[in-house]
Amino acid sequence: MFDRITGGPQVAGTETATDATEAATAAIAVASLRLSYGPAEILRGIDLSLAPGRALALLGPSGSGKTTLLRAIAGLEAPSAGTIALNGRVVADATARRCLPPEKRGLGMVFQDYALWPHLSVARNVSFALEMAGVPRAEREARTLASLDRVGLGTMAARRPAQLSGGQQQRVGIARAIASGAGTVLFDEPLSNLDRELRETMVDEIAALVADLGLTALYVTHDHAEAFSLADEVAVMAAGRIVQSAPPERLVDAPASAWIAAFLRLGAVLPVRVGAEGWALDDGTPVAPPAAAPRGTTHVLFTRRALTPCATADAALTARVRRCLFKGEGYLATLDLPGGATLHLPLAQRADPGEALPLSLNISALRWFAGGPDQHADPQTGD
Amino acid sequence: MTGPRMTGPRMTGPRMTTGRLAGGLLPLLGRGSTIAALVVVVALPFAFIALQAVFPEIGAGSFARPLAHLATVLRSEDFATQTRNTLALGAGVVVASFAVGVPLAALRALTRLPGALIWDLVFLVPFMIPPYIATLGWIMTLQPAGYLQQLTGVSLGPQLFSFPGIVAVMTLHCFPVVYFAASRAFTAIGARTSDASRVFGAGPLRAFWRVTLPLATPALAASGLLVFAMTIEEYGTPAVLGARFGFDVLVTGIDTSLSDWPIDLPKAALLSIALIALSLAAFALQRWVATRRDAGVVGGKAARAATRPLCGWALPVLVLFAAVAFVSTGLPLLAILATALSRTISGGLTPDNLGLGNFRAVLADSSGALSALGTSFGLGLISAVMAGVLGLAVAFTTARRGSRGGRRAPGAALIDALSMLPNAAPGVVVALGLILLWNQPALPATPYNTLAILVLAYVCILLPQPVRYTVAAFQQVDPALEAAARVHGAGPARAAWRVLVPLVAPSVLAAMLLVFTVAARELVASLLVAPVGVDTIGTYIWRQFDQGSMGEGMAVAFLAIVATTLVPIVILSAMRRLEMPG
Repeated sequence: MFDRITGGPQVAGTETATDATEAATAAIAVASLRLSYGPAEILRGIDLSLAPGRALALLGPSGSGKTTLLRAIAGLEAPSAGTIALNGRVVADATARRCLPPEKRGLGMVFQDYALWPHLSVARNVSFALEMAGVPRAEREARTLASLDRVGLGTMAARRPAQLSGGQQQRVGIARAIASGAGTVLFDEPLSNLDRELRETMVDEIAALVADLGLTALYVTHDHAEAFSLADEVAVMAAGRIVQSAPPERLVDAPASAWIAAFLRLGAVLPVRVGAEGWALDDGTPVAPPAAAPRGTTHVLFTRRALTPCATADAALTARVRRCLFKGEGYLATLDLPGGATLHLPLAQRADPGEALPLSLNISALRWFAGGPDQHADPQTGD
Repeated sequence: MTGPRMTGPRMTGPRMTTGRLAGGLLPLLGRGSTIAALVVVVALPFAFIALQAVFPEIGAGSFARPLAHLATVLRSEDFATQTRNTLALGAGVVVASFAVGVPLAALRALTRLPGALIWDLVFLVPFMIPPYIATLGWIMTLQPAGYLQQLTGVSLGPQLFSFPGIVAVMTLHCFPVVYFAASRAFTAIGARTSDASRVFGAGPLRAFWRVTLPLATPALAASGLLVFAMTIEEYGTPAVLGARFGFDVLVTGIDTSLSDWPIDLPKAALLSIALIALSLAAFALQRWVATRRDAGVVGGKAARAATRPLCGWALPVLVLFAAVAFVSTGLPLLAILATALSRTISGGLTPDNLGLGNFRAVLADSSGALSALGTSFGLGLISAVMAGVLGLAVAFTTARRGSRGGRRAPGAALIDALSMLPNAAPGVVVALGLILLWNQPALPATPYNTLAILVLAYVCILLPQPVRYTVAAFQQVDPALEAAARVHGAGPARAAWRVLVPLVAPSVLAAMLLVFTVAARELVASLLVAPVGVDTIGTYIWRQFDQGSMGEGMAVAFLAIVATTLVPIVILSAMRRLEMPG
């Protein structure tokens, strides 16, 4: 569809790939990356590798460093330790005090607040990178129009960004990022300024675009659903580290820590104790036989599929209904579980506040952790 | 470390930069030359005032007898009187401007005033007329046998040539500052908060007094400071009105020390420092009021239909607005026009005494009027370009919002302070600094006694304007816009040129227009440093008035007002039309 232009002079060809065989194949390779502002350490040792044509989402609460990591890869921040390589070319190496400026990295980027230049027309915004690369005018215009058509805005080329809606503006931002033919596109919370309905449409569009163009995509978001829909792999960040990196399905099925389970809102996390009869909640409610979890386990995750409303006789535990909201396609109940935790559980029919709700337990859907939801433990380094 | 590792010598790629976006050689060079320009234009003249104030014999290259004259000057009666008069005049004009400006602003912001936008435009005009020209118009009107006496038989001469007279004339020039600041603040605070206080039981007046007015305090304090600074810096009005009844302020005192025998440079320098100290004290006071009272509410979206109808009060309110507009704008302008159209002053306001003779004489340049217009417009243009470029350079280093956590570039604080220093210094002080600096015998070459000294004076006096405008514009620019340009292939210089400069250009241009307008009509610095035989608009009008040949002077004044008011309006509206989506 697009010819890949060499966005900025490439040095990849001039280097011997012997000492970087692993990274040479990766579109983005980050190793031992640290970044501080004065005494504040924002990134505390990041390693990640993203193969060409794959999509990775950086997911984390605000302040976890995900945007800083993206900006460091873009060249907008200089790391204080570690290296960044793009397509096997080292673009930042803190030890050698080297940091290739952003314009030499040949990336595309979509910004949270669009960052469209208000004094330039839509077409001039999109063609900017081509202009900077010295692409001849005729070719530039053709490729600009192709990019705009790609995002469904071919007729808006002559307009100013301010004349477009938020969703249209972000489509222009996406067209700008792909127009140069950059193989790697960074997305910095691109949908957070849009309302929910539009966000869902745009997730579809971006996913289709990334797949069609075979882009390598690095996607920063704090929205789980967005990350799960768009990425082949999701890296959960907390306090400047990647605490788990896995395909979305695996992340949901096997969160590495209670903190991740709580952050992803996978269910209710409760402390457990082991006794002669097995694992039990703090109030004594039995949960599972002793063999269900390893020694050292302190917490259990009740996923939603672990609990099912049932007849009182079959109940493993009883929850109290605090609220029950009608959601159009069913009900969403807020339940108080015996250990003092709350859980949101979809129900087929209305339950009254105060009502006792008997629940059966699917032990295979429980997840066990050493450490509570307050510690964002790093399973790799164990701290 | 598992990632690829490369050693230095093998890097054959493009030049690597270290550090963040702010780094690099180019910004360093830019900062260096900006500081150099500020040192020459601002720092050195002020440094020489300070030196002269401490070392009375610095002019002869000697540091002997430091502060020898201090006691004499401080104890002299005219120093005490001039300081007192300056303070009294400043305070009087601030109070009077509030008395006129705040009620008008409240009516404009909180009621459905007919023709609101037109009144805004009308009240811009007195601010655009230089006070010394308006003062001459007032003299023509109120002096014995003036236009008022010719028309009504009443002469208010004694009232004009008095302290209240000076306060009144200065207030008519200054009150728009309060009017605009207050009406903007009232609109922003507006309806939301005052409606809330009314729901909870306060009447409209009480709501205004207890809620709106206190919330507007920071804006009012800022406008009060500006009025105070404008008043204590003003030369023409106290000079021409005060001379008739022996009223001297610091500015006229400095002028006297510089131009009347015996010339006393140490005294002029000390008076200048006193004047700067007053400005700074007022600034500190304003900051104190603003921070104590700043509730951080102002701003946000003003609700639309929040204004109250005037009902039966529409007519009296309109009469009030019209009266203020007529007295502040119409009357002085008419007096200037009448004088410009009169064959002789003694001929009075009779039809056969009217004609275009004065304007013809201006065009014939028989007394240097046309040259003065040409000189001032040329110098104004050059000063505007230079101040605009320097202001852009200053704002670029001090105000550009860098990356997150980005620190300010080294030297930014110094640049910031130097560019704002002239704010505290009136034209007469800047002129003194230039005289002291550029008459040093050790200098191999000097702009003194050339037109360049006037450009230096105008750029120094007016530099804070483009800096202020441009800094504000830079603060509006989302840092992501520059980041986006960098990521999409533009180097630092190209990103600045293609993205930052176009975005701040309208503000820079507006500031340049302001510099042009004010510089073209500047009076006191021009009187003090203009080369021999060169007249500017200000000095020409001043000399014509001194010599009693008012007609041509007022014709030049009229042409200058029209040109310097209309040209910016035309350019600004053309700009606005260009910005409109086509």
